[in-house]
Amino acid sequence: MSQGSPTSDDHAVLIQAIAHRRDRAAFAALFRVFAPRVKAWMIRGGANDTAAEELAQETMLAVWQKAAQFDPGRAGVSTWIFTIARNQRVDALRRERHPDTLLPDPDDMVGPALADRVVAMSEQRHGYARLWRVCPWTRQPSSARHSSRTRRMPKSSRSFRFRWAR
Amino acid sequence: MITRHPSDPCLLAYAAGTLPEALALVVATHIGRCACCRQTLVACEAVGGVLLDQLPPVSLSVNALETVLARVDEPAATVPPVLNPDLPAPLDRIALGRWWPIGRGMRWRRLRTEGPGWVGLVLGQPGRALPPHGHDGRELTCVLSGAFADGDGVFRAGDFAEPDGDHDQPPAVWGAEPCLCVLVSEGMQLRGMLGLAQRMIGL
Repeated sequence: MSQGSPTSDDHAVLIQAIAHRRDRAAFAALFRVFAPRVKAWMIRGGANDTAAEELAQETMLAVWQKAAQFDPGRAGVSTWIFTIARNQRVDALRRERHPDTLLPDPDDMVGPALADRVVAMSEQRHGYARLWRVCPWTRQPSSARHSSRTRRMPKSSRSFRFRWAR
Repeated sequence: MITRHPSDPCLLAYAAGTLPEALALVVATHIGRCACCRQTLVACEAVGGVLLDQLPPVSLSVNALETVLARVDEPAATVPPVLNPDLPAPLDRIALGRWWPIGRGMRWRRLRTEGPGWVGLVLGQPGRALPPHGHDGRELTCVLSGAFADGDGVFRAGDFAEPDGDHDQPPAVWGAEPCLCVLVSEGMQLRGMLGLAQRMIGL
């Protein structure tokens, strides 16, 4: 840890200025040092340029908001900012997960009404579609059965309905 | 006395924020109870800080600073409310499903997280074991109370189990107390009749 180096101490002073006096000049100085590095870290973690930029800004905003919680005895400035950036990235991943792929497409509305009901039910509890899939009289060919185990639901509701129609 | 800890790669992944939410939750539960792992975590985060210092900077858009300064008076994001005051810290803000029986004397209750992997509480009565199963991915367990034993030894309250590969024998409750664990499994495949039931209810 580079806790003892003069630059790190300078940064700690900047954070305390933000915490005590809401000092915008101190924040600007800190932003110029750390925001580009946080963005670089986000890009290394697989984010694209826009997302990395947004996450870097969110991180620096959190630095402003949490400045009073910074304890120079416990961690260096860069370590503290790293943990904030890490938490921001985890939160962003959380928001992006689970896009609802089961909403019916408008052009699928003409399909059999029963299939629509099954899709609606499986949206509620992911259950009944599976029940139908293991029943012998609605069973799929073995190759499709194998892939259905690794995938939660068929890619589009249309392919699902095609199986139903047979 | 906690004797079983997460592996270093697991802690490093947690410190870097690359674990999926379900896995991170179980690691966080252990870290909350283990001073030793908290120290390791602080060391890992210090490594992250040094890494951050030494990364080549990537320039931001020209008005990035103004954008952030315009937002500094916004209220900070609110913390989700405590839903389960009986559970330790990272688990208390996660919504729970209902209890489901999984085999004799074993119950499972889902924690609603996002991303891959199922995470849930497992409550086992003394002398009972988890049904035989295999996994396609990682399986992490943190014991909250009681103890369980599997082919690798005994795990007591606070211990963290991270078996590599499938169990020689499924984990069984050890001692006279019921055992409550938080368990996350990537691609657990139950065997036998329960496996059929698992596929039928779509878990």
